[in-house]
Amino acid sequence: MAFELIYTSAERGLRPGTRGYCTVAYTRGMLPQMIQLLEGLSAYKAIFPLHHEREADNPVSISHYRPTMAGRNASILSRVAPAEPEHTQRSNKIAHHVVLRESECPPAGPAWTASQPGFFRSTWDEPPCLITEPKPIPAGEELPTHAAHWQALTGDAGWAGALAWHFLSQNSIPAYLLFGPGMEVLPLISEALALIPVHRRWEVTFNTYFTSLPAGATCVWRCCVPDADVVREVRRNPRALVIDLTLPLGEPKANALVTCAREGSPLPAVPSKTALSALGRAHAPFVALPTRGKTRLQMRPPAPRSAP
Amino acid sequence: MNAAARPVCYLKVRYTDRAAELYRIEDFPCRVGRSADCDITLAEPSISSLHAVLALTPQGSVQIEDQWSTNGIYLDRRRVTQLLVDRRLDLVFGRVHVAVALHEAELSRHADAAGAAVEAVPREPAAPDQPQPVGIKGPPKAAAQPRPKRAEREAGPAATFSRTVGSGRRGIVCPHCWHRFDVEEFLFVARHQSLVGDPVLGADAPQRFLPSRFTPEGNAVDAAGMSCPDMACPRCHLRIPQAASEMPPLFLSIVGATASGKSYFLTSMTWELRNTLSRNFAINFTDTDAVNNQIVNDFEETVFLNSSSDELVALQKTELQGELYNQVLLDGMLINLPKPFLFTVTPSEHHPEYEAVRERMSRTLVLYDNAGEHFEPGMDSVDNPTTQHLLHSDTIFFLFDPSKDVRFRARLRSADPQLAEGARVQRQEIILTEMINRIKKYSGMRSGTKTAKTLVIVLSKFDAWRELLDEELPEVPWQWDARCNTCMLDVHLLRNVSFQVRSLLEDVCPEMVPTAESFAGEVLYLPNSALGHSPELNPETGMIGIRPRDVAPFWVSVPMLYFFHEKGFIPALPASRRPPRQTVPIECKVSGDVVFVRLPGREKPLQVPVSYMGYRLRCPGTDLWFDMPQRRRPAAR
Repeated sequence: MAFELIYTSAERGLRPGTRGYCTVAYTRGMLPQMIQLLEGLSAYKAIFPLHHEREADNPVSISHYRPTMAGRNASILSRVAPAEPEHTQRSNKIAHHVVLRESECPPAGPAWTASQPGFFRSTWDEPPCLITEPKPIPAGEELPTHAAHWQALTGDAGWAGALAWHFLSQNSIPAYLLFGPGMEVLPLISEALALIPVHRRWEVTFNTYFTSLPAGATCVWRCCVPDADVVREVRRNPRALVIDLTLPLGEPKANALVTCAREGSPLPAVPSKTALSALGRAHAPFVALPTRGKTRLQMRPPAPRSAP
Repeated sequence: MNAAARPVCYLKVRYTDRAAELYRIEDFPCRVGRSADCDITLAEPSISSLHAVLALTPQGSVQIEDQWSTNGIYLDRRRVTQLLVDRRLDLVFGRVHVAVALHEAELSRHADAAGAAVEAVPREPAAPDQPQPVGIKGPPKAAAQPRPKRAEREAGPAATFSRTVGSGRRGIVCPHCWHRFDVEEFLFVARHQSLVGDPVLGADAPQRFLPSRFTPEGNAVDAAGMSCPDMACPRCHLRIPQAASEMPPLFLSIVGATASGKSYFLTSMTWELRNTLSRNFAINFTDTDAVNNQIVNDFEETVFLNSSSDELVALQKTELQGELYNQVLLDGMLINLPKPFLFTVTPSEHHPEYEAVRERMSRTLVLYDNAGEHFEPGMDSVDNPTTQHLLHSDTIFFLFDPSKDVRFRARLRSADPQLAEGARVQRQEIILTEMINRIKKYSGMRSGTKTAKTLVIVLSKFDAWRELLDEELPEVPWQWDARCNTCMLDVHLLRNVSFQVRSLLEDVCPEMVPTAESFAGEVLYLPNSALGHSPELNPETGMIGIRPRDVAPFWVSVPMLYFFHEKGFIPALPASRRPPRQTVPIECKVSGDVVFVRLPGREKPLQVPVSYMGYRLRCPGTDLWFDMPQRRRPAAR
């Protein structure tokens, strides 16, 4: 059964004595460490200040993180967004977290799951409570490979393939999607995930409004506003992929997934990581030298030449 | 080292109210402080829990080192941080006279004769015109302590007055996690882009390392050969600005219930201090590090430097996660540490005593913006130590919001939306009690004892409850002094205002006063208004906000100015400069920490805390002014 936790500012929290920002509901039986972890993922940073005319354009953060809890991999799907004013007439936010075990993860992937209507709560006006009903998890399998949202936004659906390719070839190096407030980012993530083999879709961690990396977590697809502090960090990592959706994009580097995204053709056979690396190298201006068989310590001075 | 060569040192402690104590010290380092854990315990409130350490230098000499104590170590009226014990040294620790020497005979001859040789060093917080609580006057120091020979002067204490890197003192206090560590333990922050990933801060953070190579400028060299100037705490790995490592910290905590206006208070106060301190008090108040202070600077821009002064603005409700905190992995636990706001406080060059006070007044002020939820009972946990700065604070500002108290609200008639029917109320003494319990729990304070910290109860949102205070307040409680070319704080005025506010609190919500005064011996009650104007309700969003053009803070920097006055940074206005008042004779009887003051024509005596002794006060609800007698020395009691 999936675990849930809802965190917002309320007059009374679920734990005795709590009020203001606090947990107002969670699934019965949830471990305290998990509660602490989920509360820690409830941060939100508004782009537009209160009373600003574009306050409604503050982005919604939908994320997927994969912490290890009690020795098992789990997937946390979260939605954190501004909410109706709280009881002291001040700003508020609501965070809804759903923790899925591996067996509960729909094959369609985390972004598709998070985008299903009713999966997340965006308001809370009830008394605090323990959740006892199991949360229904939508089922989804095959997704179309044509990246229609990417096509509409950037003029080239192939960028979805570029993002997916980056994960498959260099999955530990983050990719940055720079978006403007008001842009819908989750469908883009969902389309890119559709180009990744089913068994690897839940390996992709992402945040549709990334502001900082929680300690101990990884986030491979980070959607940021262009002037965010974290974007400065991109310069530290020249291998990171940056797709700036606020500027005209050219054409992505050609590969099989880019073609899939453009044509909507079936996914190619899963290439191995080595093959992907080799494919990537084919376009690289430099060629890596083969690894040396001997370390310097193993080297011996050449034998003296015998006299002629 | 053989027994014959083992250094020995003698330390003689002279109290005002009991016999002197003599210690022979053979084991180093020897810790001296108020805490029972110290090797030498000095049970005196002016002594810090760990005040000083007697340690051996690599050459085998004995030196005494200040451990960032609140009241410091004084020699010849100069505050010292590190001193070589190469002769008899007559020092003052807080209010305690301590003589240190290498030979017992030195402690029993000449200067110690009656202790008259030791001149009392003014208590640092004391105002120039205030009586000294401990006032042993003696002949000038020069007569007691022979001038050292030239050779001694060159190699002696003068050479060690300033802090020296590599001294081995556990003198740095991390403003993030409050870990105390040696200068040598500082980690450095790698700069090369390949050196990323830290076990404490996460995968994105640059690596921290203990350097073995340095550039000629003193920067560390990372594994990729890059020069790294940034330093970090060895425990939490968070960056500590260099200025903060060079100047002793002054911690200050702001406590209050949710929606009591802590963030607005912090914002207005820092903005006012930037504008007031340099102009009026010859003190520079600047950001130690703009990165650390970015949030509070953004707050200031929103409220005070907003280009749309007619538009409603508001500060976000303070969160319990996110940009105000640093998340670190310590001992396998995910811990949220509050981000400190660091300000550098230094005397301006036109300060009348610039040379004398330059070192003593150069401090790093450390402030935190906690969410009110952090102070709720049950919110203090190992993984959420966000309020542990309370232990290190010299002064605590407790924000009491009258608009959140149902009894105050019953007396107020205002269009302020915070006073609207159905708006939230809260018992704020519970927050105060929780704060006290946390400090007692973590500092090991015994029940029945009082803290040496000053507690300032700041009654916020004064614009909403001004009508309840029977006192006319001037725009600013300070006056220009032509002799000093700076302003002087009208401490007498503040004391009388504090007394009036205290009386109001006793009248309306009496539980606050004994709760505060059972915890701290020095409690001041000050009104202020961070915005000087009621907020408005935005009908579209249902949220309250303020228009920047309406913002006019009132007395918002006064609690901090009083704090600086207590530290000796700001002089007090002499009583002779106060407006003359007709006073009435009174009869006083001191009982414990209260003075029973009998006024003519009144049957019931006023109960005035002893901390108000020496000030001119007005009897609340009347026009009767009276002079409280001077406080007697503890020895006399």
